Amino acid sequence: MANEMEFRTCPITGKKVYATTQNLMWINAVTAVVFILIGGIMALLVALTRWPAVHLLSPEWFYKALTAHGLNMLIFWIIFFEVAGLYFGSSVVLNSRLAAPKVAWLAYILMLVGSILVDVMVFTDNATVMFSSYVPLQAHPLYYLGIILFAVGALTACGIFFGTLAIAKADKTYEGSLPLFTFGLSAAAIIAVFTLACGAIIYIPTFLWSLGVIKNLDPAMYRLLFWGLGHSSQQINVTAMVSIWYLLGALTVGAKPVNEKICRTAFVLYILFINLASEHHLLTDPTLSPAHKVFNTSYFLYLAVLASMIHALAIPMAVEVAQRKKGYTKGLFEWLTKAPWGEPGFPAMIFSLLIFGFIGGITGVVYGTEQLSIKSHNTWAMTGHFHATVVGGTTLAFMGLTYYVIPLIFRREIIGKKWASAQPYVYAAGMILLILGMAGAGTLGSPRRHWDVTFADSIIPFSFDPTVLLFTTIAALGGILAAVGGAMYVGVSVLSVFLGRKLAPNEAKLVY
Amino acid sequence: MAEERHEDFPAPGTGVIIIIFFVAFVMFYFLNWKWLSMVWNIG
Repeated sequence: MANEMEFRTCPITGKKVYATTQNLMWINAVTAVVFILIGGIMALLVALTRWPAVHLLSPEWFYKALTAHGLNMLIFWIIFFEVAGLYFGSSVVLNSRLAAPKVAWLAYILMLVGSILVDVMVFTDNATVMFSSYVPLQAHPLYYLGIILFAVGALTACGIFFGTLAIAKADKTYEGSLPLFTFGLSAAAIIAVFTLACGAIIYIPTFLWSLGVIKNLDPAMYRLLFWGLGHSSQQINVTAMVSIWYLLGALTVGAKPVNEKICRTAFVLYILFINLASEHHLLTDPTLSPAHKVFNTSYFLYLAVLASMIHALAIPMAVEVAQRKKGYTKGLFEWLTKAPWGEPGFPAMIFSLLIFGFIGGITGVVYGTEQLSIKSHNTWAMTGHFHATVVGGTTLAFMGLTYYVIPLIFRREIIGKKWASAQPYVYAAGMILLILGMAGAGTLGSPRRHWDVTFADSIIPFSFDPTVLLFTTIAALGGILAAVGGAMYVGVSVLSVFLGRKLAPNEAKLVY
Repeated sequence: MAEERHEDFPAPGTGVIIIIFFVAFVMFYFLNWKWLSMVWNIG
């Protein structure tokens, strides 16, 4: 293990990069990429099964693949990457040593053991319970233990992040307020504490229930608390993604928010209100009163929507102002057409912002309205919504950042720069097709989480409008294209991290 | 390079994007209420 005080100075940013931080970022980021590979393979299998023309997997393998896809993508890939981001945003950005690196390694081991346990249980037919694992569906106790270990590890990593902020403050490694990127990550970490606490509150009794220690578990209470983990974990992603947008804007065109105070206020609105989105999953559930649902998931949640709209205005505005300062002032959009579209970070940021805002955001608000949820709940349209937020939004932003982390932090030259430049385009195009296909088929009533959308073996015969098949085909083709884009990302990042030319200590090199 | 022609608001292009966003939002919101009224007739 590296000396806690050993560091190098980044020739581009001038920031201190501590060896312990670098190693921990490396292991968490590489592990994240392994899980996106597993989740991506499962995604392709699911997409090819939902497509009636191929209908690849048996029902048993379909639900197994769907469970593994949800967990590996929504939880493992994203949270491992976020932990790497938390260490970057605290230790590197603030020029500070990392708090308790040995505990950070323990956190990593807990997360790794937990995620392996979960995957082993899923792939050995011991936990075909879907991502939500609704009670009374019961998995093997080791599945729940795996989730608990992972959550404890992630919670510990959040503690390391807060500890590092305290050390940086005490050591006066930075002046004034926290940088906006770190401030945003702080909001994400605060939301993470709430989220992981919900996970612990519900998964510990569920674990005991699976062991037979507790005889009964209230399914309604499970649903409420599970979504405190299941959906709120996506709110961590949203907050981290927005922070990364600001960072990518700065890295690619030197963008700086016109009014940082408003951006910070928007992050505070996230902390206060965004987790109410968890109750969207209960909009058609009989346990909560209509007044409760409307007040929380509409009126209060709109304050978090307001925050997203502030960010959605602030980031392109910052990019436009930065570009206009460089002289790109012709017409309304020269600043955009002359942007660095060949640098992977820029298209990744813009596509992430557009897919998240235009598709994920609009559908989220509309489907999150109680009356409209009745029509869209449990349809494929909902799946389209969250693929726009979590995949087209979060994952694409994380992919864009990776192309800067590899040369700056891991000190390796990118292998396959043209592939890296093309990757955000391929991935975004695939995701847009996938999402529109899901949304179209779902709007016409196609259910989510269903093995056979033709209902060929159904006891009660049913057939959809033929347009559903067209949308299903569009979604499948989009899924295949997105899988190609995902494979390009995994290929470029793995090859670069392991085989990329080692950059000299003072060699300043980004992608180009 | 052309001269800056939008001195009042520093990001007019962003302003146009935001207007497009709001129009898309209003249309999708309206369409969903319309679809709901079609599948769930009252009275």
